[in-house]
Amino acid sequence: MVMVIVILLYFFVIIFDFLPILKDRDKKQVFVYGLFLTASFCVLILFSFGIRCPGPSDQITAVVEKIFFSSK
Amino acid sequence: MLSSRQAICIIVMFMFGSSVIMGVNTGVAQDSWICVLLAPFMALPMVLIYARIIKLFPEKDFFEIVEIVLGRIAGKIIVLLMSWYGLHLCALVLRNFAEFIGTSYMLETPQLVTLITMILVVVYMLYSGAVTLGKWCLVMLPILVFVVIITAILPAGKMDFTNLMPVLSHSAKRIAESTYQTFTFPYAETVLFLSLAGAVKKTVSPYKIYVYAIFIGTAILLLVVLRNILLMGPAVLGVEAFPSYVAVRIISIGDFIARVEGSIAMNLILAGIVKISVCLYAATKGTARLFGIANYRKILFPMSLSAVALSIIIYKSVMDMFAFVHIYTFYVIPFQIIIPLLIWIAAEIKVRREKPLKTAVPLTEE
Repeated sequence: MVMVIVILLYFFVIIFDFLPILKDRDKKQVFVYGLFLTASFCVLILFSFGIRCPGPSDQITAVVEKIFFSSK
Repeated sequence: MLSSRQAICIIVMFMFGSSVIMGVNTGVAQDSWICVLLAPFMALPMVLIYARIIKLFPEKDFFEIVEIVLGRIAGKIIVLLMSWYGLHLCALVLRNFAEFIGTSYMLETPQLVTLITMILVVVYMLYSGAVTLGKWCLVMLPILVFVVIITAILPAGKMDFTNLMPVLSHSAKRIAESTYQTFTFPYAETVLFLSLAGAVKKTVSPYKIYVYAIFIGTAILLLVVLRNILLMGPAVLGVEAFPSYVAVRIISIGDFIARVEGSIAMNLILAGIVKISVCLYAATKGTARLFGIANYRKILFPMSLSAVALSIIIYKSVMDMFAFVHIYTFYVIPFQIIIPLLIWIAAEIKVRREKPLKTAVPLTEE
């Protein structure tokens, strides 16, 4: 069910938002749009299959602990 | 252009965003109201710096200012960092929202559905622009304040004032730590409002906006914290994930006023939309600036979907979400303190250097 929702959402976003941007022929805009759209789609589609990508919280925690709590 | 009242309402609702659900600073139990009273004084110098940045470069947003004062390369690095902070905070608030809805109301609904529904509203709001956000806040803030006041008055008979005792039972160090925690969440998060600075009228005083917003926000937060302590007591307050929701559940007058906790969810949605909107606006504006895209609306959808994706992977569980609060207070130091300080100092130098030059030009022409 979640997978269908994700696919439908991206389908409508591509049809109604991405295609008009393609018509602008602005390469930079298309690149940024495509980059974020693809990255988010990969994460969400994997999530719908029950695969959770690693998040940034562990890395942030490690860096903060190294800087602020390393002497303890 | 945003009027001063609209800007104040945006900041107040932004501050109220997830605080209404997560509670403010439950670490020092019955002393948390003291931290809420002290935090604005800690935040005041910082928000005055934010206001000064707006004052030095009126009608310019934060990302434009950064590139003006730091140059292209250093400016892009700062823009990248602040855009990341906007996106990250947007994901954190989205996740808070989804966890609350998922554990309190819609237990069977997939978290993703809640997230998508919320983000679509936010995208629609941002497509309409900053002024629409301001007008919306102007209308919704009185409703939000009304709900807070009503949920504080209705259970007055059930409030136990001994819950506030013993006052100052925690050490000064612990209270100072908690005050700092309140400073970082939610006071200094208002740094993201700088991304909306370009939409604020030149004639409006940014100092007035920030100072009024901080004090109105403090009054509301204090009311929320006192209500929660007086109704639940320090022991329950310490273990509850969503204290406001649990506190308001107690309200039951006769047989006809009950289940008032729905109003807390309403407050979350009203204020949450504003907080997510401001964060997403900052992230999108920053990213557009980074890549030289003139209109931020062109990349609003992929940015919003990235925020949803990030909110899904950001924590493994709700326990991780609460554990991260401690790390968050250190993680935000560069975004809330160091970068604004750096920009302020650089902006003051830039403005002072350019002033004599401007006055010198007509003299040489003569």
